Amino acid sequence: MSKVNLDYLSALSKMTLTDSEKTQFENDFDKIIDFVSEIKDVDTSMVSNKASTITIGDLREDKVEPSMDRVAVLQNAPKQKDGCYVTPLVVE
Amino acid sequence: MNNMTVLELVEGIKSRKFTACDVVKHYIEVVEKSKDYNAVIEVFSDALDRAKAIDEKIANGEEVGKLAGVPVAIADNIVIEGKKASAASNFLADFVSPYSATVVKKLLAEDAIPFIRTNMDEFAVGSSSEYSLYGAVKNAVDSSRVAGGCQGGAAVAVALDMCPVAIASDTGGSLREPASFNGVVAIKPSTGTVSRFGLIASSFDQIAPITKNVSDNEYVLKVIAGKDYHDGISINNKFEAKELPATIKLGLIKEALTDEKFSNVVDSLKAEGVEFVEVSVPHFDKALACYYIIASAVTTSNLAKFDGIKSSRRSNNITDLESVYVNSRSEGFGIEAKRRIILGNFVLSGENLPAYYNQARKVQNIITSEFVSALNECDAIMMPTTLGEAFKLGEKVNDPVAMYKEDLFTVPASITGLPAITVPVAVEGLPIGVQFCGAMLEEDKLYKIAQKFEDLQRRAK
Repeated sequence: MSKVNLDYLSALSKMTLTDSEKTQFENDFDKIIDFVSEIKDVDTSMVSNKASTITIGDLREDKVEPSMDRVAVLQNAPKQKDGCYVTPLVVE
Repeated sequence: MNNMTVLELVEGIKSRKFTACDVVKHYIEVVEKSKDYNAVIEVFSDALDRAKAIDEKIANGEEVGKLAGVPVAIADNIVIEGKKASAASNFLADFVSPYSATVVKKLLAEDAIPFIRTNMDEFAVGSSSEYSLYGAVKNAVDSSRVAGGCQGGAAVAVALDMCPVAIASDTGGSLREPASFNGVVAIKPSTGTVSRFGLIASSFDQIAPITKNVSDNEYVLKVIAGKDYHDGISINNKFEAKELPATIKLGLIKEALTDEKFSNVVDSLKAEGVEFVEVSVPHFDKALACYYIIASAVTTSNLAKFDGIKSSRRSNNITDLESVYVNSRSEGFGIEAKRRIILGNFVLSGENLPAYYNQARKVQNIITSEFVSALNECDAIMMPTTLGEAFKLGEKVNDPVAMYKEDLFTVPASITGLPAITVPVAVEGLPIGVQFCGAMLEEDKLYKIAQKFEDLQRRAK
């Protein structure tokens, strides 16, 4: 029995795995989960999981700025029409 | 013009000893000769035109920038307007950026010349530069070995003198590890020092230079640093000058196991009057697991935007919207990116969230506090940069845990946000580096220590 449910996790990841990837990952993930599970031994009962103690920087001013040029942005879309991204039909 | 530093090039171009065009033509020849290393994906076609424009400015007596005429390698995950940037992924192989990264704008404002696009691990995940769409990068000293990762192309390009400086990103050691494996200098600055706007990577990534020596590194980092409206965690690092004490005190982490080569370096520094103190980072051995949990969670979230609709390739095998996402992502991502996405979803889902991700964030805070305390007792902590010298190509590519463990000494600076610099050790054969990790925002002190170390290594050669 593998430590991870690969079908569930690949569905969450919006990916399907090939048979050879599945075989490899089943083996990999048993070792990877063993390795990262070391973290469970640490007593953290007195510690916060809030942002790290030395994270600095402050929020930027909320100001309106011109957006990127639509034509330039859309040039990387695999499919586009009339200034919009094209996807397969969602609603009949 | 062989093996010139950034500072020598700037001086030479400004004083008209040679032109920017001469410089670019020279480096194009070197890149051409070094093709077999697979470090370079593209030589930018407009490099020579930019050089001409800088030469004209100088001929007309106009003021030029701090990096006038210096050819700079740019990693494949830093975007330049109108040019390809693919993060070494099949998914982004056709991506042409509609804008430039803040670092690129800063480089151009100082008259640097974006020169080559360098090879790396896909989406900056990897420790060997073997997980690339363009194939593995080869080590500069022994081409049967790895270049290190994820930014192997950038390190090899500098090591083989294809350019005097490369700009790339360090996730958990992605600049420092390949710098160590190829005998060059790299820093991971205090988190937030350099804007990440225009970087295709995850939030751990920090952009910084790889250079041939310490002084070039400091010079270029200061050019690209600065607070940026477009990066919420960016800060104004003032590089405040700190005086070094007459006797430098370096901390050695008592919980970190190191090898004989490292002990030899310690002994040689002792002989030069450097003082060593033992410092304690009790959870040092948990840093790797902590890093891989958080970094994978971040990768999962960051790579969620690649969907086959907006900017990444779309699968031809589609029937409905869901199949656009699923088939494009399955065909687009390489093996290590997939592994990290799945690991990220594992640590973030259901009961694993508190057990892994939240726990790792707490451990991150513990380790950070331990490093901060340890740094109160010394001027900097000294560690090896890597477990050893570069390993063989293919040796660890199918053993992810062995690959992850390569990052033992580099991830602490990444999870704590502290600055760390690697400097080559004078050794025969395969290069190795030593790493100095300093207190937050104390880059000035760190560079001074690194400079002293570099001077001692030069004398030892």
